[in-house]
Amino acid sequence: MAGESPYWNPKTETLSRERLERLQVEKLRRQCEWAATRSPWYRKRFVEAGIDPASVRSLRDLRRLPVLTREDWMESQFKYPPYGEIPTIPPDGAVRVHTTSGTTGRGPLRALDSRKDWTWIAEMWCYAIWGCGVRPADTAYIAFGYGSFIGFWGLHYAMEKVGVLNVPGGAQTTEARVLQIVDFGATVVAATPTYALRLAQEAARLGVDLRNGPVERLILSGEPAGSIPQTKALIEDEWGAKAFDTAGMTEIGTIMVFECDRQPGGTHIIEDHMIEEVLDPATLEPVPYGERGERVVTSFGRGTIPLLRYRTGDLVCRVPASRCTCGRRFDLYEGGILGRVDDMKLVRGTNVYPRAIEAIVREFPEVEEFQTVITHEGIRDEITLRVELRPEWDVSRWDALSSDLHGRLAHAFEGLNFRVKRAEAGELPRFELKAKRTVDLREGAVEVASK
Amino acid sequence: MNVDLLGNQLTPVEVRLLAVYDELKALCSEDDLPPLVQANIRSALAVMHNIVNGLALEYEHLVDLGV
Repeated sequence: MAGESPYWNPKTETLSRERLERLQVEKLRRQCEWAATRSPWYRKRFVEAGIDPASVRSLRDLRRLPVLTREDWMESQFKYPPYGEIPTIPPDGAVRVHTTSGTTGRGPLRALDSRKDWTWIAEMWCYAIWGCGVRPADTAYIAFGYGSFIGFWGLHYAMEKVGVLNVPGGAQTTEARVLQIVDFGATVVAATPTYALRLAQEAARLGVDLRNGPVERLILSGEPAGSIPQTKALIEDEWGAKAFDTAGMTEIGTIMVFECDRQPGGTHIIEDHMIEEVLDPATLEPVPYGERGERVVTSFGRGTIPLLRYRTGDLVCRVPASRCTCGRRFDLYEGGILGRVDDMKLVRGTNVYPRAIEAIVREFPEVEEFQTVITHEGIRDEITLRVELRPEWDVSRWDALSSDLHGRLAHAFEGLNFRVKRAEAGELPRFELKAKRTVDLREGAVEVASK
Repeated sequence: MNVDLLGNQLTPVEVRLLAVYDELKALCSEDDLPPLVQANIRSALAVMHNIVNGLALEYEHLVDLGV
C-alpha cells in the first residue's frame, strides 16, 4: 500500500555513494551526447573545448566541460530571440514556456518544456513532499499567483500526483487565502517564507487561530529564509506547524533540494537527477565539505534545455549525507541556500549579509516587517534598519527595542553603526514571492535580487 | 536489456514496467491513430518515463516522439 515507504524513490535515495556516482556518470554522458547533438549552443561549446561527449566516463570529466552562465543564456536569447540557441527543439515541440521572475531588471530567461520534461518537474517536487510527510489524505493550499513565473507550478502537479486534495490559491487577496485555508481545512500550505509570515499576520488580524488549526506542514520555497533558523522558528510558532525548506530555480524548472521530516538543519540534494558542484566563485576550483562556495548544477531532467555546469550564483555549504539520520544517501546543503554570491554589501569596510540581518531581526517577535537601506551621505556610507512593529505592540517600549536591535547588529557586524528607525504601520513593502528587503541607494550600486 | 543503468538484474516488475514503456514508445510511432489516442499515449509515455528514469531502467529524451 502506498504511504509505507519514507522515501519517494527508495531505490535511488538509499544508493551508496559509489553506486550513486555511477548512475550520475551514466546519465551525464548521455546528457552530454544529447546536448552536443541537438543544441546549437552546446554543439559549439563542445567543439571549441575539444571534448567528445562520449569520452565522459567519470565525474572528474565533468570538470572539463565549460560552464554555462545566465549571461550566456541571455546573450543567446538576445541574438536568437525569443528562446536562443540552447533549446534542443523549436517552440512547436514544447507544451509550456515559463520565465524567471525578472527581478534583476535584465529581462527574464525563457524556458521551454516538453510533456516529458514537465512531468519530471513535478516528479522532483514529489521527492520533497513525500520526504517531509505529505500523504494522499492531506489537503494542500498553494498560496501562489499561478502566472508565467514557474514558482509552485511543479508543486501543484506533484500534489495531484501523490493524490493530495489540492486547492490552487491563485488570484486571491491575502485575506481570501487565509479564509480559504480555514474553509478547506488545509493540512499543508505552500508559500514563500515571507508570505507564510504575511499570511500569519493576516490570520491574526482576522482573529483566526492558526496555531490550533489543522495545518501541520508548511512547504517553503523561493527565498533562503526557509533555512534561517530564527525565521523558520518564527514561522513554525505562528502556524503551530512544521516548516520544510526547499529550493529550486526556473533554469532547472523545479527544485533541486528539500528538507526531510527529520529537519536536519539542511536540505538534501536530489542527486539521482542532478550533479551539484560547490566551487570557489573566483577560481572555479571545488571546495571541500563544510566550506562555502557557489552552486554549479548539472541537471538530467530537461531534454529541451540541457543544463550542464550552470553557475547559479547561490552560496551553499555542502555536508555529507551522514549529517542526517533519515537514511537517505543524498548529501545536504547545511542551512539550505545561504544567499547569493553577489548579495553581500560592503559598508564602511564591513561585509554585510542580508541573511545575517534577518537572522537577528527575527529574534524580535515585536517586528512585523523590516527593510535595510544603504546610502552614501557626505563622505561615508550609512546603513539604516527600518522596522515596522506589530500593531498590537506597545510603542512606548520602542526605545528599549531599538537599542537592543542596535546592539545586536553592531555586535554581529564588527561594530558597524546601524541606524534603527521605526516605520509606520503598513509603510514597508509586503511580498508575495521573493522579498527584497535590502535597498542600496549608493551611486553605482547594482540592485541584486534573488532569482 | 536485462540490467538497469547500474548493472543490476531487472526484477520481474521492472521487466513489466519497461515493456509498458517500450510499447507506449512504439505506439507513438503509429501515425494513423485518432487525436485522442495520439495525445493520451504521449501523456502516458511522459508519466511512464518518470518510472523508468527514476528506477534507473532507462535514461533518454523523447522529444522526437512528441513527448
